[in-house]
Amino acid sequence: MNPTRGGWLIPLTLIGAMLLTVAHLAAGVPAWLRPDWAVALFLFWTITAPGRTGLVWAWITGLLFDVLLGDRLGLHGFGFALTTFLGSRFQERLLMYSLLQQTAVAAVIAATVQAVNSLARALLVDADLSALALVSILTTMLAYPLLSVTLRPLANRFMRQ
Amino acid sequence: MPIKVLFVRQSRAGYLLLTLTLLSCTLLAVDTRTPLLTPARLVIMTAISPLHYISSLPERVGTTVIQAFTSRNQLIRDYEALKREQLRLQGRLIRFESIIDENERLRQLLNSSVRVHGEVTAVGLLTISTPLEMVIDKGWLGKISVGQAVIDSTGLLGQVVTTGASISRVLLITNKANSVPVQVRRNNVHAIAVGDGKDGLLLKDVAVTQDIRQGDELVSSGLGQRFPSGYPVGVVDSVLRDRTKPFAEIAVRPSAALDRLHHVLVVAADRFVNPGARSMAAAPEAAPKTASDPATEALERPAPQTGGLEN
Repeated sequence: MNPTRGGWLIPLTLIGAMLLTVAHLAAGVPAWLRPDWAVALFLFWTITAPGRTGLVWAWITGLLFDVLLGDRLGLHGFGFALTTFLGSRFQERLLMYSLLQQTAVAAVIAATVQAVNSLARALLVDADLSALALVSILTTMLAYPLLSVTLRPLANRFMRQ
Repeated sequence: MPIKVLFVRQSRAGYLLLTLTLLSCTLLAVDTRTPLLTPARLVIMTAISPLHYISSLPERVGTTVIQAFTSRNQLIRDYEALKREQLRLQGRLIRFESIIDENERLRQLLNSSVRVHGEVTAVGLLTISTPLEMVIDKGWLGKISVGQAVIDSTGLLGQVVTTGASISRVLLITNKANSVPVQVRRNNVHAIAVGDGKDGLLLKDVAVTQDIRQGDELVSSGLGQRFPSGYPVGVVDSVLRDRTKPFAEIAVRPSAALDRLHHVLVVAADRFVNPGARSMAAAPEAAPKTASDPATEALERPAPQTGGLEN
C-alpha cells in the first residue's frame, strides 16, 4: 500500500457506514438486525491499510455516530478506538489469517464493543439490556466478510502504486 | 555486550487508548449530568444533517416513482375520495369551531384562564434512528423549538428534544425518558403515562382503587404545559391489580401508529391567557395569525354575554 494514495477511500466508506446505520429498514424488520457497520469497517481498514486509521480519528468518528444515533457523546468513540487499537496491535497476525479466522476475530471485537455500549446505555439512559443485542453481534460478524470481499478490490485498485 | 532487543515494538498506542477511554468516560459523565455539551451536539448535528436526508432518499425516490406511474383513473378516484373526506371533516370542523367558541365564552364566564391552542406545522419524517427516537426534516429555521409536541392524525407521538438548523430529533412517547400527563376520557381520572422502552406505555402511580378499566381511552390532559391537551395518547391494554401493592400496573397501547409514519405535525403547547390580562397578552402575539386560529379570534372578540350576566 502506498501511504499517500487513495486517502479518500476510508472517509468515503465511513460515510457509507453512517448512511447504512440510519437507513430505513423495511417495515417490520427489527432494529437489532442492523449490524455495527463502523466496527466491521474499522477492523477491515486497520488490517488492510495499516497506519491509515488512527485511534484519535476513530474516536472522533465515534462522536459523529453518537450524534447520529442520539446517544450520549463519547459512547461510540471508545468502541471504535478499541477496534482500531486491537486491529493495529495484531495487524501482521490478522493479515495472515484466512477470511474465516478474521471473521471470528470480528465477532469477538463486535461482542466486546456491543457489551460496553449496551452497558453504558443501560447505566446512563436506563435503556433495557436486551438479549436481542446479541443478534447484532452475529450480523456484524456476517457484515465483516461482506465488507472485506467488496472493499479489498477497491483498496487494491486505489491504494496501491 | 548489550542484549539485542528483537520483536519488541515501542508503541504508545496503549497509552493513547487509555487516554481516549478516559476522555470517553468524562464526556459521557458530563453529557449525562449537565447540558454543557449541547452546543457541540448541535454543531455536529447540523453538520451531519445531510446524511439523514441522503439516507431517506431511496424511499423518497421510490415514492416519487410510484407517484409518477399512478394511473389517471387511480388519481381521479383518490381525488374524489379525498374531496369527500375533506367535506366530511369540514362539516365536523364547523361544529368544533362553534364548540370552541362556546367553551371560551363559558371559561370567561367562570373567569378562568383561556386556553389558546398552539400552531401546527407539518413536517416530514427522515429517519427512525432508534426505535424510540426519530428525526424530522425541519429545525429552528423552520420555527421548530425544543419542547414542542409531535402528533399524527391518530394521536400523540412525542416531543422535540433537540433542534438543529434543518433537522430535529423527536423523543417518542414510548421512550422511557418521556412522560405524558393523561386523563381517562370516560371519567377524567388523571394519571401520568411513562414510556416502557419498547412499544407501549405504563401508567405510573395509579392507586388500585382508581376507576381505570381495560379499553379506556386516554387523552393528553395538557397539565405540565408541555403537551397540548385533548390529543389521544393510547388505549388501556391491561390492568393488573395486586392487593398487596399500593399501585395498579396498567399497560397502555399507543394510539398513533409509531411504526408506519411518513408525515407528522409539530404542535406548540397550549398557552393560558388570563381573561383580565387578555388584552395585553393576546394582542401582540395573536396579530399575525388571526385568520387561522379560531381560538384567538374568540379571544379578541368581546364576549357579549359577560356584560349581560354581570348586571
